[in-house]
Amino acid sequence: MSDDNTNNSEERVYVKLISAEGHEFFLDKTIAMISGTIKTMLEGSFREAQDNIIRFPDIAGYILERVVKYLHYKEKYSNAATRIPEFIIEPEYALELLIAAKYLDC
Amino acid sequence: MADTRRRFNIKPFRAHVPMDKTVAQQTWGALANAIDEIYNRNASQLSFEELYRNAYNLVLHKYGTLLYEGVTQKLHEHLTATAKRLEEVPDSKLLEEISITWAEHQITMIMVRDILMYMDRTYILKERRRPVYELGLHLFRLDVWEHPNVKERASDLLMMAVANERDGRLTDDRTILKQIVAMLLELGQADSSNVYEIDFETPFLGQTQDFYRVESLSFLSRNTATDYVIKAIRWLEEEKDRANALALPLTTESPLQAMIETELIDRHARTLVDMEMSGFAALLKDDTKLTEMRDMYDLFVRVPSSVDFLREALAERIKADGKALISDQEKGASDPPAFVKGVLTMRERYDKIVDVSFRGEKKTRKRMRESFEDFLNVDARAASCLSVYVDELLRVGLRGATEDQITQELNRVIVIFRYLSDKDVFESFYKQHLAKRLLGGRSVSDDAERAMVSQLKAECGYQFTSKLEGMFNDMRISRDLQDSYKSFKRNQESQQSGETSGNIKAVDIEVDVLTNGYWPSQNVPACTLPPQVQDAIDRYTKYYLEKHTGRKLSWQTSAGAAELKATFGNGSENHHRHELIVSTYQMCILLLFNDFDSLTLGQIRTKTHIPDSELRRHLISLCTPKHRILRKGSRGRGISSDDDIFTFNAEYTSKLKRVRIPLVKESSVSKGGDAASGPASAAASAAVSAVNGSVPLPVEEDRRHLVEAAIVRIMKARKSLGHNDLIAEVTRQLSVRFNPPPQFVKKRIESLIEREYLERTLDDHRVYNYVA
Repeated sequence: MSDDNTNNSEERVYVKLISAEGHEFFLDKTIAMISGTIKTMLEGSFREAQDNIIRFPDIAGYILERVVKYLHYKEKYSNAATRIPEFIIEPEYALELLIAAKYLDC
Repeated sequence: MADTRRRFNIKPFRAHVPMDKTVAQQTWGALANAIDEIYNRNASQLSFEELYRNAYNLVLHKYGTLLYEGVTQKLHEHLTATAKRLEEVPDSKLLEEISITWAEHQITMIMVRDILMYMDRTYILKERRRPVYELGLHLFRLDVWEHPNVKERASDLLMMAVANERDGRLTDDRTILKQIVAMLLELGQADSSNVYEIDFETPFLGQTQDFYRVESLSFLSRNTATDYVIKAIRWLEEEKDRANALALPLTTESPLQAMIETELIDRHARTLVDMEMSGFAALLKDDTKLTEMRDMYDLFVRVPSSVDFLREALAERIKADGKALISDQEKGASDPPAFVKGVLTMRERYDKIVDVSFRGEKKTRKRMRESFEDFLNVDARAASCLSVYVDELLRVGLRGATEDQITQELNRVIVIFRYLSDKDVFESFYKQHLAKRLLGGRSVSDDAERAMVSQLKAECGYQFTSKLEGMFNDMRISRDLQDSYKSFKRNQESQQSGETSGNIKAVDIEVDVLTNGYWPSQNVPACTLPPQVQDAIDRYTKYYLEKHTGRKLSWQTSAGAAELKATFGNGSENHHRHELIVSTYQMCILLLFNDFDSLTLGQIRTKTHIPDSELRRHLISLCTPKHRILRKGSRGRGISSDDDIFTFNAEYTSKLKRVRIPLVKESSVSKGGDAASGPASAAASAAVSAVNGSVPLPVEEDRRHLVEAAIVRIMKARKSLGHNDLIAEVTRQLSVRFNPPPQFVKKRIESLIEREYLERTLDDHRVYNYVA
């Protein structure tokens, strides 16, 4: 499996997620990989894995934004002992967020 | 929720456009192309997201089946093409190609699966179809492996490769073999088709079995058993090694091991044991072959049932050795002590064999013990031999030995004692020997005697040794009595010093007073003693009876010794005196010659009342060439008749001042045999001269009483008991002393029924009832 972007050193790798409108979101690769779909994409031998850029022509920006927020939230509180604050989901986006979540497996 | 009253409107959802058929087809087309590209290893050009999205959309719009079927078809096409390609590949390269193809297929399938992950998660779970990856494997098996041209050739090649390796031809096919084995395993698991088992495992096991069957046979026919053992171990290790290298699953490995062991060991166990010169049975004879035997044992222990053969061989050998010892003893080639020593040596030898070669296995030890018991208890011979051996130890052998040595020697004796089943025979002989030792003062050390008795007590319990302890007690008491009698006599004499105590000179006597029940009984009526002796006896009796009223003393004249001062020589010349140490009977006989010069046998008998056979024996011992105190009238060794005349031989000479006159052996009396070769000490030549295997009569009688007592005791407790149970119980209780044969017990039961201690129940005549 060609996975030439995995690194074991201190250097952090960033991936770029591009929404339907063209919004670009940078995030840490490890955080991005919390999403199952993204993980597979980045570990496969397709184009995405080589340049670390993933386009989501079907997902709107505001949705993708919230997804990214969620990924950070999850990463932060995954093994936390402190009290976990609620992740706020605005009801008007709830439906689309749900679909995106199913799509992205996260 | 922060603000419930805020009215929210849901943004218009991107309208759910039902996908129509053409769009679906297009989408699918894109995917199909993608799969082709993946197969062509061009995946890096593709966007994962796009494909993923396509699949997602198809499934979302309910075209899951279309997608699935399409994928299946596509894979099928590719795989068929692969199979065709493999068909063309020559045999020499086939396995390698298959391996490569398989690796590629795996990679491809992973990619395809990744794209179709959404379908895997939703559609497949819902419709319960085969997941994509497994689908790929399944199709691979069907299209590629099961392709007639591929499978046949591949299987054969696999088997050949293994066979080659076994023959010793090194191939580097091992990695390829390993991969193909892994492939088959995975294929089989994916669709539960048992490909591995059918196409590889079974032929592999079959071939292995054939190989080892043939090989082991041929090797064994050309080599010794020891070599075979080494080779077999090596084979087993090789196979284990190979199984590891090929990463065979445990489900194969264990039947494999088991089967090889069966072929190599189980099948040939008998041959290995019996083989001449190098078989186990032969190795047993040789003391230096302990390691070879142990190697063989290690090999056999893998198939536990085959170790039985080894144990059998050991048992046989012990029996054979034992028989040899016994027959030696029977023929008289060796005497009882030698027999016992032989048994001891044998035991140590086999102990070592069990320890080293059998690694101290419990079962083998038990078997050894049983074998020893078997041959030792063929008859009561061992018991009597052992008692003679112990007698010798305690009389002579342990002279000057340290306490440790004594304990060690006695321990060895006890070991053999444990093997005996006729322990009561041993007891009766031991008692007799002990009596002679104590009375004759021949015991080498009091401590040793006591040590022996305490060992016996530890083995068999108090009852066994109570009489022996009684004997010790008697001796001690007698000694005390002796001392007090001496002082009593001194007082008496000093009182009577003025008077004349008659013209009979007092004789010094030493008396040992024995309690009747403890000592082996003699029951011989006393002979007529010379007057001086009789006088001394009467005085002692008076003294004793004053001390212990109500007791009765009976004098055992058959035992005892006397010291006589004898004057030889004619007239006043050649006067020489000797002190003669003789038995009581001899003393009686010789003292007669104070008054007479010669006497006939009949006269001697009348005057002394000594029983006839003893009389003859003692007389002959006085006429032996070595100690001719009396001259016998008749010629030849034996005594001719009652009129045979005996004359005092004044010309008797001897180098020693004190002469001990030994008694001749009993057997030589009747045959007139080797009269002069009586053993040095009188003790051993007496009652136990013939060591044969039969149980002595008194012991036999004792046994009858014991069995009857046991039966009555048991029946009294149980009131009613079946025949078999009764016999079992009786045997168990008496096993400490001896083993009663069931017939014996049955006879006793019948006798008890006659005497109305027991009765048979009316309805079941196998059940007995106690009659109060």
